[in-house]
Amino acid sequence: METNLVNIIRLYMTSIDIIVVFMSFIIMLMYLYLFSKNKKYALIKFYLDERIKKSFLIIAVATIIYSIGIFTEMFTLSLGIEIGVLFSEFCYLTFYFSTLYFSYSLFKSVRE
Amino acid sequence: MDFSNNFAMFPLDPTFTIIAYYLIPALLSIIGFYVSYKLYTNISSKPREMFIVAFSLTEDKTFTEMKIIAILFGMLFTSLSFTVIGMLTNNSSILSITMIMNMFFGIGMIYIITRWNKRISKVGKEWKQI
Repeated sequence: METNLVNIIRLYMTSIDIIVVFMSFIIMLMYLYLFSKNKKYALIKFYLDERIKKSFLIIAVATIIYSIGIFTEMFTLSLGIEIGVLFSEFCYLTFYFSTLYFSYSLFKSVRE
Repeated sequence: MDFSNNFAMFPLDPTFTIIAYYLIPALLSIIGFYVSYKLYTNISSKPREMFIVAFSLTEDKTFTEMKIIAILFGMLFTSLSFTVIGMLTNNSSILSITMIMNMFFGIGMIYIITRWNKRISKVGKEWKQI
């Protein structure tokens, strides 16, 4: 029974990690596109965009959640509380989704 | 389910394990929490126009930051790929490398957020004076 739970949690964590790998790859590609052809001045469009404040706010909140995730994982790993590990995985996912949103709004503004 | 066994598979010195898996992540998460909370309060308390001025007057710096973020996410991508490979193959040395890479990602993000904080605070002060 316990082995099944371990396997399920491991499978769950691995699948989240795989999703996150793809997300970080997409984010990296967006940033690479951004400075591939020296789009320095195109960044102004992003500054004038109404979403700029919201985007940076999201990044701030996401980093707070990420920090909580690391802190939770650190303790729960040693104490063996499974739910804490799952919680921290959700925190990481939130962080990556928020960063993806930020990168996408930046990418969209520059592309336009 | 004993997750503490996860640490046992890393062939490291116990003192190093405590520093690498407890002290450094704890310190980084506290600093990360502090700087990102400061960024949140900084942004939410200031008008959008000031925010535009803060970033559009420092294009070169922002462009450099974007480059750093790209490098950080490139490193994170490599690190996460290694994590998946390490978890699937149960290879402890690969997992150890990912810990170090994640640590660098954390330091990099803290550095970027601190730079944003400084810039917003500086422009905020000038904005108030005007």
